[in-house]
Amino acid sequence: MSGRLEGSWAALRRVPAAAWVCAAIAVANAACWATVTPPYWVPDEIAHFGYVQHLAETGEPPTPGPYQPSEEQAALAAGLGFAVEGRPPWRAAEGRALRRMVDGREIGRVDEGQAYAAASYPPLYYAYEALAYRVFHGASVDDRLYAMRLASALLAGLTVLFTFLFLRELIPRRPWAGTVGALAVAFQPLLGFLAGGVNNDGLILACAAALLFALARAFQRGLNLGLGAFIGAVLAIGLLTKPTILGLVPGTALALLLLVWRAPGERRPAALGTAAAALVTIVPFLAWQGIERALLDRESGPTGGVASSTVTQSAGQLTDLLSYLWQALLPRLPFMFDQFPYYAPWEIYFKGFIGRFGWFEFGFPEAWNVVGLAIFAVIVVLAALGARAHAPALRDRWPELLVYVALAGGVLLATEIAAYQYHLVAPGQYAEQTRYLLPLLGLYGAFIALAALGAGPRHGRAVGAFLVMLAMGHSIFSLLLTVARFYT
Amino acid sequence: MGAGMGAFLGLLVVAVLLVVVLSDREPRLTGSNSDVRLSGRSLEVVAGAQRCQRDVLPAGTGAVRVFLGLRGDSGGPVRVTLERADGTTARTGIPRRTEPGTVEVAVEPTVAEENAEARICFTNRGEDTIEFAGDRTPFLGGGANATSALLDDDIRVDFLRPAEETWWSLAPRVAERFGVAKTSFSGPWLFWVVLGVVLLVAIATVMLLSRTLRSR
Repeated sequence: MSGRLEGSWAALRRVPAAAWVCAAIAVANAACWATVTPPYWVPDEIAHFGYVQHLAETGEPPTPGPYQPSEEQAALAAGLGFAVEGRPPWRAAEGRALRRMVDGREIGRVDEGQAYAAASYPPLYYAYEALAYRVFHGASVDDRLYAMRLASALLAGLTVLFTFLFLRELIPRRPWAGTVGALAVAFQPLLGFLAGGVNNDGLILACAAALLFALARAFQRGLNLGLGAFIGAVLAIGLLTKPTILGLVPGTALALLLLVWRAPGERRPAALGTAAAALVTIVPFLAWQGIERALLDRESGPTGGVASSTVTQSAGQLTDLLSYLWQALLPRLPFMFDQFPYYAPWEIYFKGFIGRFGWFEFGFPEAWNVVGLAIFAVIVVLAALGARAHAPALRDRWPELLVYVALAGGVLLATEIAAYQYHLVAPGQYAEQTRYLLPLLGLYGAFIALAALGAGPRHGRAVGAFLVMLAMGHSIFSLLLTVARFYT
Repeated sequence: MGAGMGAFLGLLVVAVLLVVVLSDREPRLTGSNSDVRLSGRSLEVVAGAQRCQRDVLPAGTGAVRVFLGLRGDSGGPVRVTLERADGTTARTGIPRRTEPGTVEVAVEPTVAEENAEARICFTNRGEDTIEFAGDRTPFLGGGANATSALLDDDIRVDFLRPAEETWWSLAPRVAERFGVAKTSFSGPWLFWVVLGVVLLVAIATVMLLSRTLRSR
């Protein structure tokens, strides 16, 4: 046991200092978001807070059902005058009224319906947040919420730490490019915004980054028992957090198959690693499912939707589904029935990536999105140049690249299929949100690193530094946009 | 081109943009009764009628903004009175209009002290019914109001500072608002702490880049 602990400690000490600095930057950035965004103005934060509160107060996850907030949840919402498109109180008198509503009196903290849309999620993220809740159990409800937000911000650090390590495995000969990619991820505004709120996406993003790191390492150094167990553990944590992780499962399965197939000489370690990954993934999940059904009389994901817990399984026609998927990601073809009132890749995914905040009801002015598109086009060209310059190395690593394509395709498909199911039960409504694609943030980091490499050996570092500064500016302007939305 | 030059150019771009954006002069709010970005409900005031509502009249208000719709070819004029609890009244008016849209009119004198129980009245002195955007019902069928629920709205009124201002001059006011409803211990200082952390993050990033990009 102590040997394993020493091994873990040694592994931690091998993590480069730059990785820790990148992670610290991500945490500080997310903490800024946690402070700037008013309480409850993160998507579904009321429901996620309700889940944590129920778990922390009773020791049991809530049961899905109609929304019924706890007295304390409702008091905070009333004191804030919470409305999705509204603003928090500005006047000192309103602040004092809020304090009278939430301070110094015993008000109910538990109600079975307090987690509403979040109730069907598995409990792992909420158990983590419950630690912060319990540490500040005696504090006011808004103080507890803030503590939980800061705990969530730590997950942004974990996401960036694993992204850094993933990029080091991916581009081992140019470590500076890994730093550039990791910093671009650390400053991605949607990561800071989501991780700065109480939302189970935060843990999913950390899991996705860890999975990318483990797969890249396995392709670089070979799959073994330890790495297989790590991959399984990451998937198990994801499955016990939110079904979004399912989008990464097909790509991971493909990776394991390819790793066993191309294992040099003795295939036993790779096969053992695969078995370990499968076992460590499935056993905790099945155990939780058993506990839920036998002891708690409830059911959670992945029977619910991949993107949102409000999505239920619903059958549609295959051609309709294919048309929907096509139009969600590509331009509509003339013979297709118009599924979207707008061009979804631009309106939802691109503009969302540039930045939509609050309950995704405000973002940058259109001109800024157009400038963002122009910058993105330049980055695409640079990345293409980078790919061409490193074509032989990339060709040699085709199985690994195929896996990244499969991972990206899996996340896209899982998101869109869930969105289609939602669209069927709620016609005219669209469940797509950019945040569901954020498990691919590690690949975004790789894309930025590749763009820097595309500028060539002479200018690559300068372009990398320039891109990081732009990413930082993007983050600062996103924070200012949020300040403007809520306080001016 | 060296890495230092790349970082410098990037910083320069960001700094110039920041100065330009933060120096932009615009009408700034002292407050608003609105919970919506786009209203899903309009409230009509027929010719000759008056509609009144209770609102908080924020200190420093020198203008009000409403969102007007027309039933006919024109609408108004509209008399607007802001009655404080002590009985004193400030008046302003919306001239006759032939186009719907956003209307900003000055209030004189500028409101010196906040009045939490003010009464605001709109009197339609024109010949056609006019409509005002409501303050609570979000756009029907939109993400914030998927079920198209109609709420009990008042006329949306945005209260504005008397002159256009930059972010620089507004910053102390933003800091005050920032600290009102976050935690039990928050105050205006929290806004400046966040700005300080942003600055520290920027410094740490530049230092990390300068070390990493110089090494082999």
